[in-house]
Amino acid sequence: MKTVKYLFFPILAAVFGILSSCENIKNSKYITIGMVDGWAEDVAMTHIAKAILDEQGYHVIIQKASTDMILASMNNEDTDLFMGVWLPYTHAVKVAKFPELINLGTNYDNGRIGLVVPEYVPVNSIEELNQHQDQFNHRIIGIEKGAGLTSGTDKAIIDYKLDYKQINSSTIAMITELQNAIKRKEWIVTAGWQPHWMFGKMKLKFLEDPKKTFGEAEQIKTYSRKSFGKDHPDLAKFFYKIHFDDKNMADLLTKMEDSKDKEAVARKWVEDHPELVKLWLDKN
Amino acid sequence: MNKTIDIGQYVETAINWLTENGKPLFDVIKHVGNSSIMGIEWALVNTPFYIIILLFTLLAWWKAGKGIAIMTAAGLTLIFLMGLWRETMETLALIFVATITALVLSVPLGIWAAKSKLAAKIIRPLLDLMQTMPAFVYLIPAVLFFSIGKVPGAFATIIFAMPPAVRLTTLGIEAVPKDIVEAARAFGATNRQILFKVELPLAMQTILAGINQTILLSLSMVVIAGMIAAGGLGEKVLEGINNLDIGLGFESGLSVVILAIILDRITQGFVKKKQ
Repeated sequence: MKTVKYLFFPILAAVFGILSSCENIKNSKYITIGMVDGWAEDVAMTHIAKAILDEQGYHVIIQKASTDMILASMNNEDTDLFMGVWLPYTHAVKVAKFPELINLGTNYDNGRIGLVVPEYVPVNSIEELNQHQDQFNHRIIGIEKGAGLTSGTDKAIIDYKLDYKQINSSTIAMITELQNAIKRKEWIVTAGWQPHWMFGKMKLKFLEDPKKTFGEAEQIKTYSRKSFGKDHPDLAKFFYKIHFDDKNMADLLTKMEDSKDKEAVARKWVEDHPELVKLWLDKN
Repeated sequence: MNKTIDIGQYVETAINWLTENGKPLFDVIKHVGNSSIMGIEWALVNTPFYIIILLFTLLAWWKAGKGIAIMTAAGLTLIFLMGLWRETMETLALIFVATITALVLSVPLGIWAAKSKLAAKIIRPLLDLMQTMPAFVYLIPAVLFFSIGKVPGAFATIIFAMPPAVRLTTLGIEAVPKDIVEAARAFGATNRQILFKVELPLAMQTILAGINQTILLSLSMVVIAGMIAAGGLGEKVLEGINNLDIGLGFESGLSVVILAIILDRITQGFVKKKQ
């Protein structure tokens, strides 16, 4: 025990020394991108960016965490980028907390949040929900407490005077409930968003939102830490140019959902779209 | 929700003040922590897997007997065959650094609490707080201080895993028979000699039990730390959860269990050896 105890610290000290000498993260070729696991579009776009930049000789490290954690980490000038900021509605409050972060433009234009039901449910608008509380058990299945979509759903319950309670646990619990309900052909209404892989796996539809509580179409944007543009001017340009249209996004999400190896799918997708990638990498 | 007392705002103010003013210190901790975790990780990942399995098996054999040694070899081989070797090594590196740091902090604290009534009065409620505060709450200051990554994961793990080591150290020293201490003092031993030559050796078994608890608790924090990009098995478990991938979730969870059992039996072996 004694000898072991005395050995630990020299070893640790040696390790520090070696690593401190070869660590120069900020301006090196190491790029960190925050990513929220389970957000299909964010996972897909982040992996595409990684595939392209890895080829350009960078080392992209993907850091998985929740939205607020990633934004806080970018605010500390640590994490470089986050490609999943939904504006002008969902993440407005969250982004406003960190005014120093830099907006690097839009990656996708047609994001949508709202209430979702299976296709076989004969209800088409949020206004009709109050006629069917009993079939839906007075419940709207939401996602995490604290998510932008959750506060939107709370607002909808007030705006439409719904006689419903929002049940919050987690995104994945919501999807599981949805799957089980569809298996049993039961009625269910959940909070959801598009693009998301659940729309590929299940037949779902958004309920119309005549009062526009959930807003119009949303853009998904990339944000970076304050000095990222100074440290990597070329990369800032590249992220500014990345943009997916509906066709590309749908195609990418389907391919991603079908495979376990996201990195391989991303590499293959980049190979198959040389024109697009060239356009993004163009330095002008 | 009417708030008449707003304790949260004071905590928030304190944490924000710390974030603003402690940045240089936190940056040093972050740097040192990152290099040490990454260094150990690098060593574990780049050592061929069979050598690591062999080392663990020998250690298990020496400390816990033949049965556990066989189980260790089988368990680690299974992890390797499930393709989770790299993640397991990442987790091991994180636990190693977190446990060592927790011990460096908690053993002196435990001794101090045993020696001074006042210290015990202050430390005990603090320990209660650290142990019972839901572990997720630590993630918030951890990220504000250290951003996301391995260091905040280790930080949250240390807070969560420290208390048993402190408590059991105190307990061990308090349980040393008074007459032995008196005898040592009669022979002219200084306080220092009493501590290092009498009390600590006699309390060692209890302290080791505390270390064992700390290691197990730090393992249970691994998944939660995965939520702030600490990597390793925790991230894999979460990946399984977030993609409804039952297989992946189970495999990574199983790897955590195997690792826990191995580390538990080996450290238990150290405790038993002392008897």
